[in-house]
Amino acid sequence: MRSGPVLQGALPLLFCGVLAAAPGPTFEKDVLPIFTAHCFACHGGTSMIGLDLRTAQSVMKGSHNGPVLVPGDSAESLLYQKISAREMPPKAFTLDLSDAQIETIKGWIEAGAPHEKVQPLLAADQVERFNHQALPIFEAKCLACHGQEPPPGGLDLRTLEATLKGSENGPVVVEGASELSILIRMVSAGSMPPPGVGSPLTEEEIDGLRAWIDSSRFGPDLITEERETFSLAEAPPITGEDRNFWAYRKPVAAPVPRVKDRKQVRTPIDAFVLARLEAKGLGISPEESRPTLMRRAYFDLIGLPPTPEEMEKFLSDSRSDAYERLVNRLLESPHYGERWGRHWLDLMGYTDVTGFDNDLPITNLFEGIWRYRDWVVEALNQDKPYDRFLTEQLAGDELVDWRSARQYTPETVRLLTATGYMRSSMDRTDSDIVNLPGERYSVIFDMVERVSTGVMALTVGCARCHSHKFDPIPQRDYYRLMAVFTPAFNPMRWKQPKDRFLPDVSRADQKDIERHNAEIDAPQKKLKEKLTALRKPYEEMLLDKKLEPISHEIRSDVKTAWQMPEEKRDEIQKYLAEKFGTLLEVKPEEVDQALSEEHKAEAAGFRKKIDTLEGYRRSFNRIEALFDVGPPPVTRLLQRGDIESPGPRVTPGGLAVLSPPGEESIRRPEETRGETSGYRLGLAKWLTSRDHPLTARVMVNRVWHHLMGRGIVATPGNFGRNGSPPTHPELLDWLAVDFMENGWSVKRLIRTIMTSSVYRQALRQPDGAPGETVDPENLLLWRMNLKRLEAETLRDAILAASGRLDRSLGGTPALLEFDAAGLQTVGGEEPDTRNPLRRSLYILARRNYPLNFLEAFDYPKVTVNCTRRVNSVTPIQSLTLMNDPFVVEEAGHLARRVRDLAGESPEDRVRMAYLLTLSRQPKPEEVRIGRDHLRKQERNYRFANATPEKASEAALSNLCQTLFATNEFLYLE
Amino acid sequence: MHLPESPQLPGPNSISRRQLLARSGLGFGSIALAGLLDSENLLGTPALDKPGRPYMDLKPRKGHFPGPAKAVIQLVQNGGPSQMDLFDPKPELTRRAGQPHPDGVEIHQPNNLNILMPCPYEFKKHGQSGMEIAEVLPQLSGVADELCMVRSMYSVHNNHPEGLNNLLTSQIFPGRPVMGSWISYALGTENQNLPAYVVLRAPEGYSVSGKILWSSGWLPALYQGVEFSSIGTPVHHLQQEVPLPPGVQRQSLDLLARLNQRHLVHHPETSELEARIQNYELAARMQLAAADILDLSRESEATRKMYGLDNPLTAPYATRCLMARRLVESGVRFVQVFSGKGQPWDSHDNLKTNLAKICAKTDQPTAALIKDLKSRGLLESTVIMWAGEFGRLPTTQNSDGRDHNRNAFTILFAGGGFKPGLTYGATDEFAYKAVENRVSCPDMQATLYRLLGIDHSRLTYRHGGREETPTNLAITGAKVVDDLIEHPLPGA
Repeated sequence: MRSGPVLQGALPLLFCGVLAAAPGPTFEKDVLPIFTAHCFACHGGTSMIGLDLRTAQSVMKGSHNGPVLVPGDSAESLLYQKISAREMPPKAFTLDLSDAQIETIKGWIEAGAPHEKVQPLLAADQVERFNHQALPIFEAKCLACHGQEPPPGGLDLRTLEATLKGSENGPVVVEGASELSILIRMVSAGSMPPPGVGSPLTEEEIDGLRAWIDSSRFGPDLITEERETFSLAEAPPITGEDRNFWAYRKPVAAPVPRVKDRKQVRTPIDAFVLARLEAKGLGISPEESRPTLMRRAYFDLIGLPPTPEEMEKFLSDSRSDAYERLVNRLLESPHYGERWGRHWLDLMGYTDVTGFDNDLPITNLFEGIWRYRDWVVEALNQDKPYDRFLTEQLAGDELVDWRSARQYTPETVRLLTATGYMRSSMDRTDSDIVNLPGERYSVIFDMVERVSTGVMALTVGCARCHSHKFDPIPQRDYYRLMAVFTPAFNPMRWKQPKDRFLPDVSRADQKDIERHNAEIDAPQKKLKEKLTALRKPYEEMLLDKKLEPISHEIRSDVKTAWQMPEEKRDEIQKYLAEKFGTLLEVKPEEVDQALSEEHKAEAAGFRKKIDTLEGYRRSFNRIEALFDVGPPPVTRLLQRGDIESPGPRVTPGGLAVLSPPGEESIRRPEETRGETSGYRLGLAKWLTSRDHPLTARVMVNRVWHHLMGRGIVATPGNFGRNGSPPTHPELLDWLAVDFMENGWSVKRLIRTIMTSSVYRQALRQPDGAPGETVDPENLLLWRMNLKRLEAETLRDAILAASGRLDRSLGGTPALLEFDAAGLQTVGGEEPDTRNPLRRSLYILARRNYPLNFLEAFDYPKVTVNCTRRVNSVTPIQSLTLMNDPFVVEEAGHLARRVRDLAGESPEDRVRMAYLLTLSRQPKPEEVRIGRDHLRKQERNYRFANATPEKASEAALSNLCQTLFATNEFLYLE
Repeated sequence: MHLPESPQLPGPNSISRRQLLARSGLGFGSIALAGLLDSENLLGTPALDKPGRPYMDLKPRKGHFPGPAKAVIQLVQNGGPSQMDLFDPKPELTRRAGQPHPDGVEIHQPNNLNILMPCPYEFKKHGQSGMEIAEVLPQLSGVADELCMVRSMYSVHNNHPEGLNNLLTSQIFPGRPVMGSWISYALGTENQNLPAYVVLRAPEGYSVSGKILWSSGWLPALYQGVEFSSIGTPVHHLQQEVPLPPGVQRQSLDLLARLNQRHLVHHPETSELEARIQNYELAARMQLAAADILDLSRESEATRKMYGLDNPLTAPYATRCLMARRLVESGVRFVQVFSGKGQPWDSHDNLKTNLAKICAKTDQPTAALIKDLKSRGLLESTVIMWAGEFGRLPTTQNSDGRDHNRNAFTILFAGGGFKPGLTYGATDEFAYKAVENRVSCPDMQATLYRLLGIDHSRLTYRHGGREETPTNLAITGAKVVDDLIEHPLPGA
């Protein structure tokens, strides 16, 4: 057997062992009891980044990050550094060591870390169990190969020690957990012994191995060496065939095809689509009617319906380019950024709360993240080129040297704000008891997934545990991508979210502000003390008065109990305080009242000074940013995704299959500013390179998806082999190249699509349309697709129709409140965040408890991000539109608006209600149906004793609500 | 959230249900016909095997093979019931009380001492099976022979939210669909006037993780649990806040149907639009059916007494248990009942008193539910699952409590084909860790699915480029625990 680090670690201890005879501290006698009581919770039977404190050998061995002990030198020993600085045990567990205990450990280290006896590496009974329970099975089925020299895959199963050492890919047996042991997975899946090589294990044999593992306790001292080379499984070579898959080839614009129906060709898009259609004997449908086209353009671009005035203006515009002008007008609307910003926020998994967001009643506000949301809206409104848009979000902090800037420019603040993109991971480490390595890594894993699904439309998450099964993404590449983020999300120098922010002023400015405020603190504090002292006797007097009705036997006890700080009250005092509390409470207003005239004036004087001083106070805002927290740490591949099984080290890089051979590494680009790794800027450069096969394709497909109702690739979050292939590959590539060649302008891209005949064509088809039989799914786009309004757009449309929508832009989110039945409504404590009429974009985005109305219509619950909205049909949606007080109330407002605009005539009212909800005039038949409805409902209300006015109002309101509930309102044609 | 990938360009032999409908030109009634065909398994593929498109309705569907269970009542004992104090007696804990645990135990919260603490209650053997249950659960002890006790459960996380997620979704992070959603997705439901999946939580508040525990994750919202309140109106927005005069709602629905039918003309995407039209009628029927379920006055005095409705201590949980029976009786597929708000089983201190208190509130209703289902002949087709998210440590916290323990806990089943009277698996000498016949939460789920006729490895939903399964199979390696099943299942 080869000598491993186990023996190397044990040898020096062997010599130390000799010292044990001499009097003095030993591990077993002095240190182990301390570890047992204070440290075993994490570093005992279970592993915590590899450090196990159960034996002297295992302490010597150290953690995954290296040794923790230097015998004879406590100052150099990480273990002593951690305990003497009281970083360990973590405060949250209240397992603090006493000074004497720390001294004991120090003394032990200084004495050379002696111990009494060399423990055998493996307890005799464990070897015995292996020999009886496992070895016979291995001998029968496995040793023919795994007993040879060299054993296949490095796995030698002849001894317990060798078995525990595992294979080239890491351990195959996990102490006490057969379900986590690869050995069991392999044999029960029938992949070992390899089919055809030997006979598979029987159920009894597998159960026998399971039982052996499940009740095993191998002890702490066996580890595997940390490898520095990748195994074939971790880094399979990328083949030419892999690179040849359509999505991994650089997009190249094919020539625009020639088509027969030339008059339909307004843009190259039309030619590409027509070419496919004509091959099947189909064509593009005629242009949609103008009111419908207008409604389509309004919702697609700004997410709001046109007002009656806007309708009038467009429908009476007889210029040939009236529609193009409309599109341009809408692209310039500030609401465009809101509409398209929401699409982007889906992709980055935006939430206004931190942590898991577990409990309905508890909102942990992610203070200041709304500035990132506003940054997105503003960037889109300014049509920031998409390559720059991405770069600032991934590396805004690396584009400017904010660390040493004397003052921040507005641009500095904007660049730092943009990095909020990387802060939406579900991060729970604000809670000390879960601020542990596993939780930290999960934040980084989320980050990798967000970038890969959102920007590259690849599901690299699979490669966290093993090389991707369908796409050529080696496990190594996953960790290379992860290494880009570890200088900022450094698991060893972790920042809790509450500390991971930057002020929106420079460090120098911040110091000035702090100094300035400190000068206000002192006089203000004095004034406050004076004010308190002045009021104190009055408070006492009032309290004594309130105590009077209490029987004198217990009066003083009650007083003592009441004045005792809550946490110091004993059981009896708690009882008394609770029982008499409401009776005894002296309210500040009562004290104000009781003050003598002289003292009233004096108190007012103090208050005025306090307020004046308060007015001098300066403050700064919080930017939820991401930035490197020190030099890049060593990042290792994690075998099977397990942070307790580090493998070879990785350097930052992009995915090999998307890079020219040998060019996947990411290094600090020249334009990096300040003390930062530059890795994220390097990633941004790699992503936005003109040669990147995916970034532009994914974005143009996404825009197409939103405008046409289905992407050219129908799976906008997955361009891999398991995604859908493109229906129009040449068009996708043409659009991607055109996008890049024209400055990555998203507005231009949208304009190109929206002015095409393909976008402008009608949805409804006459019976027997040939497309229905040739292409019923409309994959070739012979008609427009039906699009359901998203949850937010539906709510905004209702508010727009009722005329009550608050169209103001940006700012803090409108908070949510909930009632006993768990229903959330918009509202909240702060007066400025109360407005329930704001666009849905500005409603507090909770991870798990969105506004019920939005939730019912498939607003996403955010785990990582949402690459595509679900479109469900549920009876809860019907009940919501029938009975939700929000809908009922807005229908009432709409009815009043209709009445004000249309007057008394029932027909005019029906027409106006149609115009305001469905953006069109009703057909005569519909006017008649609506009028009849009003009459019938009036009768129903009159019959139930309503006055004629009330009945008329209720009937109109009812008509309006019914229009909100129609399919025509919910779907965009 | 993602949508499952759309099917690719149709080949000559692939025809989706929607296409069938679109081509048949039958419209409205044909959906019901297709539902019928589906449930009769006449469309050529087994009902559950990789549908061309994900199901978007709740019509009853057959499983992969016949299973004894049709419905599930999931009694969520949130907080982490203590295994060694209720179901898994350990004399060694008493013998070595006050001594340290030799390896230390994995703690979660402050104020833990590595000192073994004995169980404060007496254990006895019960029924023919001799199942061991502590004295604080006398009623449950009375139905011991109906119970299937798994002592060797283990979880993967020591925190409540993660533990609950793992128990219900096979993943510690929120986002995956819970068991009730998967089962509604797979099997639809029998009663089209009620939701497939109903949640009965404590009216005074949510448990930790609240609505996440009935979230359909990335499955369509149709499969999400629907909260029925046990007081007041059973469902959100079931009626308008201000009651409408007679005839008004009917007239609105008639107008709506008329406008929607007009809108449908020449519309290619008929099936989704038609489903929406139907849903308004379903919603109207639900208004009646849901109110009915709440009406416990129809139950006999004896039944009400058996559940403990006459006792203020037991009445709240008894109400939910009795509602659960009424729902299952009405053909609801999955009912999830919570033991209380917050985490009632979470005894970090004063364990002896706290545990006795929650037992007193829930013991009688739980036992009554089992007896009631049995006497109505419903127990054999209804799985009762009684489970918390993890167990507790053998050592002390705050001097007289216990901290969380992911390494071992006990859960109970009754009915639906689980082997009655069985005590399965074992923990180590301190009940700290499951060591014999270990069962993970995904294993447990796989087993329950099997009893419903669902093969957990073949029920798939495409999400994020992967074929997702209810037990997160690729990650968890979940396996059915055959030993827990009473009769081998034909076809499984």
